[in-house]
Amino acid sequence: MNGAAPGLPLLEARGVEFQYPGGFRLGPLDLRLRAGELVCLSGEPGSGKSTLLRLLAARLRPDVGALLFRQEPLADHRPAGLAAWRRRLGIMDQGGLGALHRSTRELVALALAARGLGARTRRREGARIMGELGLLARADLPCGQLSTGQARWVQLALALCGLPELLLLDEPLAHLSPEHQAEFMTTLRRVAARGTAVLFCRHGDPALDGGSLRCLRLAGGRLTEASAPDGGVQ
Amino acid sequence: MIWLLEGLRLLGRSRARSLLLVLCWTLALTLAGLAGWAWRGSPQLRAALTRRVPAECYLADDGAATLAGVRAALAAGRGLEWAGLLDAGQAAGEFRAGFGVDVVELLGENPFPPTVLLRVRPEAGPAQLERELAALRRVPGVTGVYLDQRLLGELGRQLRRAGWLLLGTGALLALLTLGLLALAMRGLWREWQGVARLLALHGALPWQLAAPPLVALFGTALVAAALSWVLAGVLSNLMARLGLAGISQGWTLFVGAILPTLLSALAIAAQSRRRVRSPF
Repeated sequence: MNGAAPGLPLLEARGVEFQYPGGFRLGPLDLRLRAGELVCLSGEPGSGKSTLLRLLAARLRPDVGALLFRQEPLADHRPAGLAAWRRRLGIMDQGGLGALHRSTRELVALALAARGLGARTRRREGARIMGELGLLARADLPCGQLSTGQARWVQLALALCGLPELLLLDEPLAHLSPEHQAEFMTTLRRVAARGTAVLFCRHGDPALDGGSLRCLRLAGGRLTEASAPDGGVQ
Repeated sequence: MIWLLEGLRLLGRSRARSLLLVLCWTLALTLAGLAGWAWRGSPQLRAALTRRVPAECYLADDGAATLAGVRAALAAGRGLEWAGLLDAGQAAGEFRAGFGVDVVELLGENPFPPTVLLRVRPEAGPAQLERELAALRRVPGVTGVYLDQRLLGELGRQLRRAGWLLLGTGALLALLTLGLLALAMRGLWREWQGVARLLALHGALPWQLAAPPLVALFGTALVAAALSWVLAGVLSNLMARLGLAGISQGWTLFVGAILPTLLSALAIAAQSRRRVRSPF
């Protein structure tokens, strides 16, 4: 699916620094993500995990440093440029779904339309994504009627719309039971196996099946490699 | 297509808000229509407000010598200015358009001579005008000069007062309408904001995010335009039946303002039934 040159990072952050006005400072940090990599970013609450994901999604602009996607710098921060960038990403926010009256089917159709897909493709792709995540049975229920855990799956479905090259997931395992966490991780591995780079963050230490994940730890605004099981690139 | 349907869904989701939008648009369009009608249908009011009182100079013929004489008299005076030249047929047409009576058909002949349309300059005083009108009457080929002196006197002052009152009322109603439109749009945007935020994360372009609320806004404007058109027809018929269409009765324009006021009261009532929080 993704044609990243072998060995070259899909996304690279070089010397990125960011500081909220008068507040928390992140970086300087370097990060490289390769296509098909599944990366867990851990850290204590307030360590800057969400901020880092927001920087990578260009929802925040770094004070210093550069982001490169396939060796090309992300320079266009105008709305159309940001939209073009986000069409290559799948983003899952820490907050819940805002559109409580919409059903999963409607939201997926809108997310696919936002990525410029036509009606027939939307129907086909929507059914495929919802089927893969086991959402078809609840596809027509308003999202307001779903539990917080179920809503996380809907958020993942939206993030997977349009075959993203990179998934950025903020606390995707929160509010999920241990069984659902395991199921969620299996799904992420399947997505990564198709060539999508997946970066997700979670509180605390990366105790989740750490042996098969590349784990990064964020502490004091600095990023460290916690483990690199398959010869991580850091 | 999906964005168009989203706009319609947005309207369907909150009927109270959609009704408010239609009412606001109806109010705005009716007000605009009334303002246009008042401006176009009341030449006397227009003349009083702009202090550009019209005058007419009747000619025995529209030959070059006569016209040159009129121009020379006007150039010497500086209180009156040339506004146009009508031949006999155009003068009859102008009368028919202004008063709704076809004099040619009525009399079997055209009683109108070639006419030079004049305008009084706002700065011209009564004594100066008298002198210039007398000079114009002495020009060879000029058979008469007509100027509604009342517009320069007490009637003009009354019309100006009525005009300013009308303008003030119109401005207040327009402000009210704008405020209501902003309230209704804020509610509509709040309805869409949750979805828009989500879609912005997934790469929706700015036009895609703006399309549904705009469809809703202009969709309601279309419905309101039809409604205003019907209302304007009913209103003008009613005023004609009641004999209130006379242009010198400035207060009759207030009758036209009653309906928009009622509409705005309805809109406020509809709004107060459903409180809308600011999304900002």
